[in-house]
Amino acid sequence: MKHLVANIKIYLKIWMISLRASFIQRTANRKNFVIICFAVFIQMALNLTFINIIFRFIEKLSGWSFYQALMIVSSYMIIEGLMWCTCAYLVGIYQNIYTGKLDNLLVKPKDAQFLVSIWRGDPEDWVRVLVAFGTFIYAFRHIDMAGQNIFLNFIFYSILLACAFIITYSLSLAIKSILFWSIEINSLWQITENITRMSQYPTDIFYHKLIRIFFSTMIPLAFLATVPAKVLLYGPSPAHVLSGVGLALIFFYLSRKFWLFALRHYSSASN
Amino acid sequence: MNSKKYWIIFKNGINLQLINRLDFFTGFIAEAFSLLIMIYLWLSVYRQGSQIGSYSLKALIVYYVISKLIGLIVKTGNLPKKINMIIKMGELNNYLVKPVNLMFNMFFFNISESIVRLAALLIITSPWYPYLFSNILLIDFTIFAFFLLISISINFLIFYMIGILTFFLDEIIGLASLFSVIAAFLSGLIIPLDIMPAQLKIIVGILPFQYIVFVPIKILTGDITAHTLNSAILGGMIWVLILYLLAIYTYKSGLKKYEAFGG
Repeated sequence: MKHLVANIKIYLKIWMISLRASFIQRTANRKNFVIICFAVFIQMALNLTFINIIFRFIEKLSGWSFYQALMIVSSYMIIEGLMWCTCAYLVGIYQNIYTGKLDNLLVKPKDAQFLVSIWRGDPEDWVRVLVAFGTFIYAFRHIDMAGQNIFLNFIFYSILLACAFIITYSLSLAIKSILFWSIEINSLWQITENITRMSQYPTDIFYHKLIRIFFSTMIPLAFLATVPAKVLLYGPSPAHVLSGVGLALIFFYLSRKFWLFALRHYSSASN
Repeated sequence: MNSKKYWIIFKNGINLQLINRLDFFTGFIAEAFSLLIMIYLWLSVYRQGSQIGSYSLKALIVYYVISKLIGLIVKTGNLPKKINMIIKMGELNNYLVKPVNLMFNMFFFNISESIVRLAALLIITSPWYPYLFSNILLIDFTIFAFFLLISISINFLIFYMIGILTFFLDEIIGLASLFSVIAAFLSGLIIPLDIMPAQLKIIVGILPFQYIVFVPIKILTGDITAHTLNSAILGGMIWVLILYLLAIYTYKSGLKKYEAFGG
């Protein structure tokens, strides 16, 4: 137990150092950093403008009111923001394989998956998380939560959001691991981003049964934002919470296995 | 302008594109995912009996499919970053001592990428032609094809100029991401511009972005009167001219500051 705690402490320390290094690197050119932050802010603002425009024509989107839909959008934005801030959607995998620098990480006495995951974190994307929280608070204040145990709902919402982060990370890791076979496919990051981006709208819009099942199991989009928002608004149901936690564990385990399998195909092209 | 050297650049660009076929198709799958969500989103809206502006459901789906195709054709990829590196690493010296113009070099390379994408997209989307293009007239298609050159040029010149700003700003990645976000929204790639709020429409009307996606779609679908078509073509060409002159001016001013490190 003592050993495990010490190990976690070391990993946390490495992570903090890596975040600090990313911050220093990004802010080396302050003007550029401010502009990037502004670009992220504008992207979020335009995203919300799009939702606003849709609701100019409708009252509800597949049963979700404007403010309820904003809860989903902000939940997605939190996950997306955290993915960029903490591991930059695992862009490190591509860059390290492409340059052959993965060798440097593999020979280090720490887990390679961890090292490649924290290899880059984009500090400007904290703006994304801040805007997401702002949107969340704004939407939450407009929703009638009478009869709901807000504290309990919020606890389970946070748990499911943590699961959503793990699922997104695992999906990203599994997809990026394909790069070990073909480094040409740089667009893989786009696939991961576009798949997770689909979760910013209520998954109830997928009215075809087969597609709904697909997006609840194979690619569990529903558990990235819609289910957490449902739990917050209507209270936790054992089915939602257990499925969310179960899926996160399964996806993390499988992606880890796939990463280790893919790593065996690393041929260290250059260094 | 000696066209032979640019023809070679164009051919090289095509060959380079054909090497990365797998990457192209992966990118296409990624775009297909985002198109799928848009289609489902609007299907959901129309299932509730709502109507978006003057668009029927089919018209809106056609709009999004064509906007995706145009978006893929006009996209400049990492052009600003490429120019940024050329200037920062001193590689520009090679362009200065050779009879090759940086802007034309980049433009023809960019056009070669567009041509390959266009050809691939025409093949991939062919099963849906009857649905997508059933109401499209040959004359509209011809004008659209011509206008696409204006769209490609406007988009190229905007991002080329951002790259050239490296002379003054050293780092332009932030500016490039800011403009790509704004261009995507104000060009009509995310939402048709005619259903935007009135205040946004005013901003859109005075900027060149509408000529990149929205106007070409309106031309192709025939939702434009003869008078508006003439002013759209004229407006597009004026913007190409303005951006071209601005790009030349910025480049020349930048060269005065260039210190030719590295190379």
